[in-house]
Amino acid sequence: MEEVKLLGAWPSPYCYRVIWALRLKCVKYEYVEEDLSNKSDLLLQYNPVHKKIPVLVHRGKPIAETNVILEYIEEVWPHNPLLPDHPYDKALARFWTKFEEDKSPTFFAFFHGVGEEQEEATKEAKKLLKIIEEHGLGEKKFFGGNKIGLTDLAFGWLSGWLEVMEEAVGVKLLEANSFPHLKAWTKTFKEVPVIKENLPDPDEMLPYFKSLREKFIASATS
Amino acid sequence: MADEVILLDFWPSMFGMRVKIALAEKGIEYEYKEENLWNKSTQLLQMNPVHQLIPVLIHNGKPVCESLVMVEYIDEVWKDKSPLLPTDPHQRAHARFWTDFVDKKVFDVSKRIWSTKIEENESTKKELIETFKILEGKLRDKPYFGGETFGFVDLALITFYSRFYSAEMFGNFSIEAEFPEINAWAKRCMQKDTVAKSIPDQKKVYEFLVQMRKQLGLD
Repeated sequence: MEEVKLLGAWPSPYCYRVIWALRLKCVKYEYVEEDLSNKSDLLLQYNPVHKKIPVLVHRGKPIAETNVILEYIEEVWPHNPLLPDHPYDKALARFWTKFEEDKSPTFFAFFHGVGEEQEEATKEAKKLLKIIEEHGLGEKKFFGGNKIGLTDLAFGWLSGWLEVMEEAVGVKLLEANSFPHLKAWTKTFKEVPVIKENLPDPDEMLPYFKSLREKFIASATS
Repeated sequence: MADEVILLDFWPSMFGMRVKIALAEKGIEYEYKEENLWNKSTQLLQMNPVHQLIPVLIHNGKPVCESLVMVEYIDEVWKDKSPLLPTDPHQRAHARFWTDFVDKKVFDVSKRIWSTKIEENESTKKELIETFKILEGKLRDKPYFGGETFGFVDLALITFYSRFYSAEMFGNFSIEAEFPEINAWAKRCMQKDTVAKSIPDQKKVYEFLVQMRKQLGLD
């Protein structure tokens, strides 16, 4: 019998990407919540190199790094495909998931930074959103075209996490006037049944993100 | 209709070298175009508007960017010869994990060594040494990271061979002395014609970086 386990931590968007992929493919799995302040022996054994979640364990063998996990899921369970067939379209999808990964420090700086650092990060983040809007999404319904794909999952955090971050920081990034297509996409993405049923509760996320933000401000000003 | 393949590149780029090796492994004929990064061609700006960086592979007029994405693309399109990735999904995941590790822990870290003042190098050097220790552990008694044959991880990492001399000069350590297995692995890879002809001379790369550092006012 297929045995699939996912080691994760709420409310990591990286974990949710894996959850979305597994659920979109109707793959049954056991979820194990990790306490990142006290990592389990299992996590350290399964991901000794990075010691991070998410880790997917399939038939006893661990796979780490979110994008690697997602490609694995796509290959082992090819039904309900999340990557296009054609190598060129696949390459485009992979380009954008890499872009998201490479540029995530800017968005982290937006959430983490204070004062001038925060202002700079906000400017940079808006430039990145413009690139994503114009070159990545364009006028498509999803990044992959007519249906949800790995690139949509990669940018999924824009749909459920960014608003909470914006509220905690007190700065709006993704405004409908400036990014109409991306804003529309966040709604379309959330309406996909699997996504809708698997999003962290914003009422639980807000106090969590607000408390993180307060910690960042405190450490920057101490 | 014959395939038209163009590679936009800049000779010292370790990323460009990866693509050259992949194309050579598959025996693909292509047109090589050297870019001047201080005066980028219209073609580059059009083909990679997001990053405006090399390398860019243009296949029948359509651009593919990001070196490892390009290598996977080449492997999928020209799938009948010299596979670069394994077929088993778990082994593929393993290969992708380690190429991701190479990108984050070798390439990103080493960039700091030649683009910062020598005095700031100590912590970067320590990070690089830790990384190479992990990689040596991964290699153990195998001839290649892929096992018995040259594969995706070997291809991703070997282009760093072009920077061995520079890393030693700027970081003040010996890769041969500290990492004899990595050194032996690199020499093994360099015996492959497809690799050797894709990697420029280490000292030429060092001279180029010395010039870059002067221009940046680092030395």
